[in-house]
Amino acid sequence: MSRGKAPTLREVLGALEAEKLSDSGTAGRFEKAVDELYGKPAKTNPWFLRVLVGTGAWVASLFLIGFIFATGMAKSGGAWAFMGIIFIAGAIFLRKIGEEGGDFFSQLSLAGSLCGQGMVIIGTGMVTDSGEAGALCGIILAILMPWLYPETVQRFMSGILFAGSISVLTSLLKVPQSHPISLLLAAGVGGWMLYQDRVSIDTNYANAFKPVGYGLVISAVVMLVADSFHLGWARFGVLTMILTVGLGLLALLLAWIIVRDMNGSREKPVAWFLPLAGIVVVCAMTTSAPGIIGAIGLLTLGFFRRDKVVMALGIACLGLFLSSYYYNMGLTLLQKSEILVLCGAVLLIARALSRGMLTGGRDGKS
Amino acid sequence: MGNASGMDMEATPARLRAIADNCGLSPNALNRAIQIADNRPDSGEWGRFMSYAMLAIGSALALAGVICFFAYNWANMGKFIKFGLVEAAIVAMVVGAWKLLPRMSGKAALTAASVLVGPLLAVYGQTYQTGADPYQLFLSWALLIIPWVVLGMFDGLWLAFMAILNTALILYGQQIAGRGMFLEVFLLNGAGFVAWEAQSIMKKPWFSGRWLAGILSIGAFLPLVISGVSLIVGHEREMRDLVDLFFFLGATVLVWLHYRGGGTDEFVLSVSTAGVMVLVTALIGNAILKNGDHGALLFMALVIIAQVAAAVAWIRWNISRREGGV
Repeated sequence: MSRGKAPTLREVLGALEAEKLSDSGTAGRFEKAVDELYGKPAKTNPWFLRVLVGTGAWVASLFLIGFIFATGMAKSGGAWAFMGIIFIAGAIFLRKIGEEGGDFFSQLSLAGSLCGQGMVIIGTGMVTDSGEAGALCGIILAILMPWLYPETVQRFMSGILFAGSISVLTSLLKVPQSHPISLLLAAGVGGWMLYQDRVSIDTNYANAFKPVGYGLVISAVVMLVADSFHLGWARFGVLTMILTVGLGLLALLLAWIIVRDMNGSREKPVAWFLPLAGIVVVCAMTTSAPGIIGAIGLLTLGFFRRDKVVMALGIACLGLFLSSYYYNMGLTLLQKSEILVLCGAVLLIARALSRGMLTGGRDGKS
Repeated sequence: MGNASGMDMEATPARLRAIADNCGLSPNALNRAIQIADNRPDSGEWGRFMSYAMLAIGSALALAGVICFFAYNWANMGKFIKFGLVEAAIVAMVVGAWKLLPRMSGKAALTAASVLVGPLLAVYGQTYQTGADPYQLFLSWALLIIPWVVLGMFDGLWLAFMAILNTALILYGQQIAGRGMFLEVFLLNGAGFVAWEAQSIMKKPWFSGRWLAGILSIGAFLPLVISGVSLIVGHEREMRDLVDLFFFLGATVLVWLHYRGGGTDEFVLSVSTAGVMVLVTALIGNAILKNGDHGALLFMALVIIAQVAAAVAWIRWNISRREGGV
């Protein structure tokens, strides 16, 4: 099994046999299970079909809510909430039929589930005459639905619903610095879930981690992007300071996990201090642009978990936030030019000085 | 027992958990299997990752700084310095490409040289006040880089070339023709897509990944779908819109015939199918939502659900045929 290349199921089974954790009977059952699960044509949809399904379900659920609203079937908040619960229960039931009954019931149940959640949230808000209660209801639904309705698109939407509801709730409760708190919560919990996806052995919980984690992390990125357009970064303030420090702490936590992981596997911790020092330096230099340390954290998490989606998101965010940071600086082009060249030169010199240490003298190609 | 493709799949934690549920693997064994599959980067990989990251970010920042410097001093520079700077950069990139091709760094250098031709033409137009329309700049740019695009055999450069041509066409529509160039953009990207497919069946294809073909297929279908929706919901209907719709239907039928039942690319099937769904939804919505009938909203929801279900079933059937080798 070569380092760097993802091991195959065959290699993992071979390693288990070598460590006497699997006998011939288990190996036979293992191969049979692989045959049953993956020997036939794929049961899961490719990504572009999931996008199609998710978009269709959202649009259909909006039409359903519009229908109920237009007919006046649900006049009171209680009726909205009650009908929403009926919709969710029906969706869970339909999904079970859908597993055997075909794609129509699957799509119908997904649209019904999303529609039902929207109705319960609206209804709760109307009954209590309180937006806070509606947002709290959204949080509860976001926690419950990934397990009540175990489907990838639903779980992804639950991540987004959780982040959105937290943001609304903290804002309505007038929690000091509600926006950075909800953003940091979404980023932290999302990053933790993407990390847990690869370590937990509990099937029921672990399979929900990745889609919910994607939903949370993407919500945090959307909030950061909105900030960069809304605030125009490079304007120092309490908000950007809190976000930079918070995201820097999350990045430090990630670096600590990585360093601990490298030491735990008894490997030589080459240049382990560089990421720690790097995070502190980057945070100190970009206190007014929290997206930059956030993007570096995403990129690192993606590489650590070998998750191409997270890595691509990190690269895109880094390009976007760096451009936004320099564009919004209240400096002349000449001053920007000097800062950019200086920053670039520092990085290139640091690389040249530490190259032997970083690559162990093995990489002469780059 | 376990077929070659199954046992040789990547051992992801999700797959291992599913297999363990089906074969009764002990928690200890599953935990160890997940540890093995986890395959975290070692110190050497981390070192290389950091080295590449510092190189990429450092180079990008320094390059951006150089661009800012010239942008600041641009107005005060003489025309020969301006031309000299851009041409020197092009020559440097071409020499780099000559030395480094066919490696990725050589392809990146050739792409950079091709991209720099645009600024060179812009400087030319600005200096001599040629009075040329912007679409002419883009068209000249595309024509001038054709030899490099052909020699480079790099899908990133082809994408840049197609983007420049698309821009030239759209600008021509806005500035000269005074109309949307939906059909022309479809024909351009459609031709690119067909060319991509033709090279893919050669003994030694130029490009291996299908992402470029996917982007070209979107570029071909999207303008016709936009035109179709405007035909359905718009007030002014022209013969040209009907022709666009005719081409959309023809292209969809061709794609369905070519890729159905065991083709190689369900993405293109999905793009064309999504286009049909958008048009059908617009058609039905336009017909029934105007009346203000509440039931129409429910009907629309059911129409969308039915369409998505049918599309998923149809595309999955194609995937099954391909993977099953039927």
